[in-house]
Amino acid sequence: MLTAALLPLLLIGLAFALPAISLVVRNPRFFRIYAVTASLLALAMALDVAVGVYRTGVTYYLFGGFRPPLGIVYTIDKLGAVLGLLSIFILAMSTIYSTWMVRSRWEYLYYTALLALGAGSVGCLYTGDVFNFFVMLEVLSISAYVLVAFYRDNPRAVEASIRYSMVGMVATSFYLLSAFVIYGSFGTLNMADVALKARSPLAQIQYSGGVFGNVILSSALAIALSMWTFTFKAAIFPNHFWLPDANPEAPTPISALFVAVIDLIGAYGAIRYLYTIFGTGSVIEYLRSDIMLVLHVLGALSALVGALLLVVQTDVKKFIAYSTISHMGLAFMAFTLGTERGVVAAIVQLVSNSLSEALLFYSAGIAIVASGRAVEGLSTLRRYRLASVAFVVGLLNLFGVVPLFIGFWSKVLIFIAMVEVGYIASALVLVVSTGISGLGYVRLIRYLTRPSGSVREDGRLRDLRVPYVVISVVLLALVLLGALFIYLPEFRALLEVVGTEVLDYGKYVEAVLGGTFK
Amino acid sequence: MSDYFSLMFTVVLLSLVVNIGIALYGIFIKPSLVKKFIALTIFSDSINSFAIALGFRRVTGSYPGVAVLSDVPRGVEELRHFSTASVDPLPQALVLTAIVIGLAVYMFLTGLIMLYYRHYGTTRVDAARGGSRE
Repeated sequence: MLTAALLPLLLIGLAFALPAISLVVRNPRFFRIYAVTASLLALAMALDVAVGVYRTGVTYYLFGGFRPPLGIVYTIDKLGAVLGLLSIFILAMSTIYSTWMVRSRWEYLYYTALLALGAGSVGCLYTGDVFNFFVMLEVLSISAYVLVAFYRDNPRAVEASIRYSMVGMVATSFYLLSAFVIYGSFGTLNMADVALKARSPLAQIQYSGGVFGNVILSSALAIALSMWTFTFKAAIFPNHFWLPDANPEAPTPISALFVAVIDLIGAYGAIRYLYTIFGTGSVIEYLRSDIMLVLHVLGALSALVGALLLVVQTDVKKFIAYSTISHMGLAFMAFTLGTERGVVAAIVQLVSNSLSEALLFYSAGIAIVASGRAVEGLSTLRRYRLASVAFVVGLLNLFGVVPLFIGFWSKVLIFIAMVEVGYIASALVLVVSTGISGLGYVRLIRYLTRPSGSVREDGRLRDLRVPYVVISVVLLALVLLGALFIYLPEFRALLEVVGTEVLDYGKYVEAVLGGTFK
Repeated sequence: MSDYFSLMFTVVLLSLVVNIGIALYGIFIKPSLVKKFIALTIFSDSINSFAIALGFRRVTGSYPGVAVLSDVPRGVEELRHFSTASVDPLPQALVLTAIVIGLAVYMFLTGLIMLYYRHYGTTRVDAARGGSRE
């Protein structure tokens, strides 16, 4: 499918054309329109890819026409398509929001990094190549480092970016090492080919001797190394420290993007590795349940740690960052159950979490412009009714006790999935972390009801049409998702198909390699 | 000759692993950002050298060949010899990509460390938290 291949390339191309264009055009309005057009175009393409994948099943695109396992191949299954649509949707919303929020001399560089961030994210989701995943991961990471340090006059932003990029570089290098280990052991970098060779001894070739000759040992090594990267990207407990540092220092539209674009990749990578590549029936199947259990416990810890720490935050952006850690922990707990229902619950959780965190950042952004990042400043939202409504809806969705919103249903799905496999303690962790974080959410809602303080003089506050449009679109998406989930069994079926396909690795392998053996 | 060679190869691989360990120590423990940065470059260079070692083919009696077929192979036997006796070029291509990507991050990090120095007047990480922990 050509659109899938074009999407990341188009975003990258348009992004890196910007610095060149800036030599000729100086008007910031041009850059804003350019970036918004590019991101909306990307959204249309991501939608096209998702519809196409739902119609025809797993699709692929061969770069340069090389037959797999030679050459780089893009393989898009429903998981990648759905998450790609989500991440590009939030990217487009953030780009539109940025045209209101970000005022800087370096605006063209900001949009360059923003579009590259989207390209890296969607490239990670679409690629079917272990090494190409690394390249896209680096595109994503470098743009994220740049965007965190965008307010370079702020020492805290510089410090946060240094910390983030140093540890991030180590994390992605671990992924690179795991890609080398996979290559050394299986002699291929194509995900479908590795998935096939990890399962069928007939397909395996003795590629190299020594440590790599032992397929089981090197698969376990590759999993261990790459899981470090994925838990880092997804901000799961021992590797969560960067998110509350880096996320709040980034410009607000970027903070809104972090969940949908960066943390999402961590969860996606873990699902791809643990289900498609080294899933059931693979050489390390007997280790896989232990790995899943470790990740499950880490997810539980980060759900609790995130919930406990968010209660005491006095900075809105830090508050939302800790909430992200808690919710990503829940998503990890869900898909490490190893069942179809668990995977579906994790995906619904990711979608619900990405949308509501973005909604929180977009509406809090107005309060941040009006009075700063302290939670007390939220009271200024009383002047902006739509923003305050959106903020409350976002919080309630994350809290997940109102059955109107998708956040409630994602937690219900996780709960059912846990009880189904008999993980009662995990279900308890879910309830307890929801309860603890609920304290924080209610506290934030109480700040909204306080009498509004004074508002800064800021030209941006005079015209709020742009943020209002963004907020209403995301709000509508969130409410609509909840309504569709409740009233349309077909919509639920659409989501369940994603889980079925994740567990059925055969389709993924066949779609890519099927043509080769005909 | 062959024993000596394989011993040296193992020594190189092991030293790369030790190198990775030392570099990780440097990244996480050293207080100076510049030293952290140097440790980071050592870390990724070790990983890259590791990948190069991965593509190496040990050929008894001679040096491994180049992965280029300059003549049309005369038969299956020659092709088989070619595939076992020449160095795998793919890890080198991968490493090339990784080095280029690494360069971008290093350039960016150097810039950031310079900015940090301008803000705080030092490159020690504890400067930002007020006071040093000597």
